[in-house]
Amino acid sequence: MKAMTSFTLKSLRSSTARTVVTIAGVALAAALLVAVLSSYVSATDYMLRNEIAANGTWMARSIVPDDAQSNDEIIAAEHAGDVKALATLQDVGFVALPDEQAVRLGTYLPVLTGAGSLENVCGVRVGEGRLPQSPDEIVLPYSWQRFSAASIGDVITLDLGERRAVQVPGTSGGMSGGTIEAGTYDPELGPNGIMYDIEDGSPLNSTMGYLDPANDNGIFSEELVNASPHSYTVVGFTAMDNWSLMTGIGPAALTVDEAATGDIQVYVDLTGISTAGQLKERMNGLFPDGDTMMHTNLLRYSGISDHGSIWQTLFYLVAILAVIIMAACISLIYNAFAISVNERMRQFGLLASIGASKRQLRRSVLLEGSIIAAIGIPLGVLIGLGACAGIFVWLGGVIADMLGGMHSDFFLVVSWQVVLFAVALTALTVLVSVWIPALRAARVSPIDALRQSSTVRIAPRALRSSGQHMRPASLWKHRGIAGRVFGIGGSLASLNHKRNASKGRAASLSLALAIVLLMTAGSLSTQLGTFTKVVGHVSEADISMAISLSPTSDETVTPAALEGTCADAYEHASAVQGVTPLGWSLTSYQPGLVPADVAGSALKGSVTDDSLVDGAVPTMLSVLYMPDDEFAAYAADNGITLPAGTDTPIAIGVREGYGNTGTMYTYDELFARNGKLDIVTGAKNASDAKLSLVTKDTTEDGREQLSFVMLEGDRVTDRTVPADELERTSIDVIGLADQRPASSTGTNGTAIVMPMSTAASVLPPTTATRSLLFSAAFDSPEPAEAIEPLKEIAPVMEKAGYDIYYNQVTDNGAAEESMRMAVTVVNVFCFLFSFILTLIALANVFNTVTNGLILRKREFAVMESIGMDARQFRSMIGCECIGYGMRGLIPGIIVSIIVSYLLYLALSISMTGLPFTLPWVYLALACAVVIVIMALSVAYGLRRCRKGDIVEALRME
Amino acid sequence: MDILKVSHLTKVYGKGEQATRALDDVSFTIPEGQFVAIIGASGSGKSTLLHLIGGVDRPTSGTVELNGEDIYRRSDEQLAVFRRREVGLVYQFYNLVPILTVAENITLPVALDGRNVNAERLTSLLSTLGLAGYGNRLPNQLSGGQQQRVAIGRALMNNPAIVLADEPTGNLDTQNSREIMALLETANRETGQTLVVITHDEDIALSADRIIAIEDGRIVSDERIR
Repeated sequence: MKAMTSFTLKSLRSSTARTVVTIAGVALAAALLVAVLSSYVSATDYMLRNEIAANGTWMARSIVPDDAQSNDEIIAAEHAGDVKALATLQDVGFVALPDEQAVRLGTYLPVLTGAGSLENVCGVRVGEGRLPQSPDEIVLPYSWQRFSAASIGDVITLDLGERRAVQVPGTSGGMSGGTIEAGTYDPELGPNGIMYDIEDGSPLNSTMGYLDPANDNGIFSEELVNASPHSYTVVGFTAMDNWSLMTGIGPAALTVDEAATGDIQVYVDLTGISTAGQLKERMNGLFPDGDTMMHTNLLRYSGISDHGSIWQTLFYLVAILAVIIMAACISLIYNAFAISVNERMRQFGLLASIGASKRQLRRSVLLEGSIIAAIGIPLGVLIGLGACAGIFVWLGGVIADMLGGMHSDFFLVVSWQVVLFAVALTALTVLVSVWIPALRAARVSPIDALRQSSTVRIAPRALRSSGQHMRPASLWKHRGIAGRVFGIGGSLASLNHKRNASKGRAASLSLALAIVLLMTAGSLSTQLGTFTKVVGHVSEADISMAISLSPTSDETVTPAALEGTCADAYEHASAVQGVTPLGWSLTSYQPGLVPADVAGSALKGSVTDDSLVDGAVPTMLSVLYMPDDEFAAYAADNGITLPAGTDTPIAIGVREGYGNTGTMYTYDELFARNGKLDIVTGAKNASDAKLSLVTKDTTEDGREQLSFVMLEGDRVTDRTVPADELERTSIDVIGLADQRPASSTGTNGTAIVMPMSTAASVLPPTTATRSLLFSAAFDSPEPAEAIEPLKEIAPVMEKAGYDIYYNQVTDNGAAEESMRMAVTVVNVFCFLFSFILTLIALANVFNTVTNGLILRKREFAVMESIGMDARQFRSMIGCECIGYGMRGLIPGIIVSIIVSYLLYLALSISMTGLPFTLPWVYLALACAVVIVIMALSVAYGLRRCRKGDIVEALRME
Repeated sequence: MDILKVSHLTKVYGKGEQATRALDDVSFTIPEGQFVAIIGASGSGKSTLLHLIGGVDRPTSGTVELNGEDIYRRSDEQLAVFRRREVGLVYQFYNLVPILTVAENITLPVALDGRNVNAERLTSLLSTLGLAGYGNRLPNQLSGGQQQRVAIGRALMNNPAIVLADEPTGNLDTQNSREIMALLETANRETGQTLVVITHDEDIALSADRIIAIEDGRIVSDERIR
């Protein structure tokens, strides 16, 4: 055994280059696995820390009434062995806020009293001051610091009352499920929240939203009763409006009031919970009558409940990448060992002939594998963790931004399970890679090995196909296509493929793998690229301005007046110091009918076939009017030629839209091609109506009709208008642009861009109630300084006779910077991953192809010695390469398309509408790189073959 | 008539201090149809000489004339043609192409020459070699003696002017050795092919027409014994 060990060590040392390559391969495998898995763990851990910092450690919350039974339950829960921590929040009362405050601070200010470890369990912290300690102290919400005059030390008087539901006179029925809190839907648990049954006079607690007849089926409104004044000293402001203080009715204030009688929210942190179902059961045990709600984010990040969509995407990405890394590494390591064993076959034969047992031979190879693993794996783990730590130090802030957190730092979390798993996985990879060559080494017959005649094992099938009986006349005739085209060289190549498939298979497999690896890298960067574009869509301009305009009179509603006012405002804005104007547009929201063949997939997908009106999709359109010269420039930028003069108003459609539904990112194809569409400008006999929502049904006599929410005067009414009674204006979409104009602030929804001069024919002659959006874009070296002056533009418009209720000037610089960094993160990740995978793939191709040739040195020499000339030799090698290439490239391309599609599916989990585009460029690039590497490997292999001359090869013992 | 004329043939491997003079100014002639045995210790230069005669290697200096033509004035391409038409080589370790069947191995030189296989010739060759019925076997399905017979078949297929054999029986038992030598000698006698055999075997050497002994790259004796 000792002899075998020293023999193994010697053989490792003797082929230093291959040993180093193999160790590097094992190290890369371990490094990539550790890096990918640790990144995932770090991200999850970061999200968990972030969630705890923001919202506390509570796992579930139960709402119980303030009675003796509940109080007993709470005390029992506090002492239960598996309850780690507990905190309660209870409604003290509600304060109605005056209108001017209500806009920013909510209709009511709920006042709560807290008990227990509020800071840990609920994440309640003060940003300034301290938490309340007595019934006459209060902590106000974070937002009050900005939007009210209150400051610490002030004594304020609040009229605290109770909320009661009020049934709207003349309506009947109750309401259940009035407020589903936090709007979460848990696949395991169904709706995660509380379903309330509400009737006239029901008390309403702070978790319920404001009852508004406009939203809640027109049945209920609410009132504040039993209001009485209380005086409080302001002792602090909360650090932020976190979840438990951001109630259904608005951000809450916190006091300490033992006498409160409102509903109690009990927040519990438990130990020994491993599933959401278990948690729900335990909570039901603690509070049988309570309404339980889960802290879904916390459960998700701590692995207790299923992951949400973006985490699922991440999980699948990680899984796909891990599988690919494993495949790449098994191939590389397997080939390295196969080559090593093959080369040493003679040595094994020699050892066997002097008495080494099969077991000893097998052990020798396994020992070789173990030594390589013992060096490679720890090295790889260190490299992987080191690289991750470095990248996270460099880009941690940006990654944290991308993950949407702000309460804690992003850093590398080393989990011993992950390291162990990666080590085990790599060790398994090495074991699998080594086992087969080890078996082969043990099987070697000493004589065969010494005579070197066992290197070729011919599949019996291949022989049978060449015929049972030798037919001399047919010898060397028609050996495949290669033979017909390239003569004897081609014939030999095709014979070689047919009869010695196993050698070619290693090369073909490595080629296929190289294509798959390169394509995976390519698809990853293409698709993550689209993903970042959608997720982080930011205007190109430094500053965006959006002002809503409501004309107040018939004079100000005309397109001419609107254009004049906008142009005037834009001119004022452009005069602001340091600002470079980029353009403006005026957006009106109008119902439209987009023919199905013009509508893109997302638009078409928004309705069912029987909702089509005259074969067109009814939808709300954002119509962006631009000054004519800017419109012309926009058209030119998008390569669209404007027709000289037409009767129909022209427009440019915006092809794509990006959105975010809260749980999913959307990528919408809105227009598929050019064509005519209709804008609904009104309904006959209802010229005064502002049409908004469009849905369709069919009247009893089969006439199609559209139902609209109409604003007539100040009243909102539902009206159905038969399709043939609509007033429509036909618009010719003459081209499609990829992006909205720079001045547009919107990103989603169907949009068309039109020149201002055509507004007269499209903008319906409406009353002053119509509202439009003026938006403009500016560049500035100091965006922050231009914000305030630009906010002064809205009053200019107000003076011109428009109501303004929305005036927003946004500095895109910060968003842009973080977006740019996010792209950097994605690119760094893709680059490193691609780079390493490319190295592995190419090393593998090089190894197999080169060694395949070197092992045949003697065969080549024989052929040469019996008179094969250089041309014949070249055509033989050429044909073999084409053969390997085809057998490698074609399956490689197929598998890589599948992998690319899997990656797409993983992303689709958190993003809808993303079209599947095959990265053709990467595919072509991958093929080209692989072909070049194959050519280089062949050239190198042949040079090695020729290094000694034929004579030497022939004498090779 | 001399078929082969070797003049001042020298082959040096390596350069500078490491240079080895494998052949040192060797000259001799061989008349057509002669059976020559070349003997000498390991590393004496026998194989180098054989390869140089067979057009497999190129000499450092000197000439090899076959039928009065200096073969090394040919281009590499022409030399390949020379090897496939004029020379038959047999090695100690058979050196068959593992992926080719017996028939394919034997007819490879014909195929390389772009000619059609003469079926009659192949069939008679196979039966002469005792390989009738083995045409479709692969080399690794044959015994050592059978493999060597295939190699001889390959060497004889094109009716070369000269057959060169490098210890053709070195790897075989006595019985097989005898058979192999009988085959070579038959070809030599019946078709008048010139035969040059490197051997360690005294019996084989003594059955030749002439024995050339080589030591340190030089001819130390050249005896016609028959």
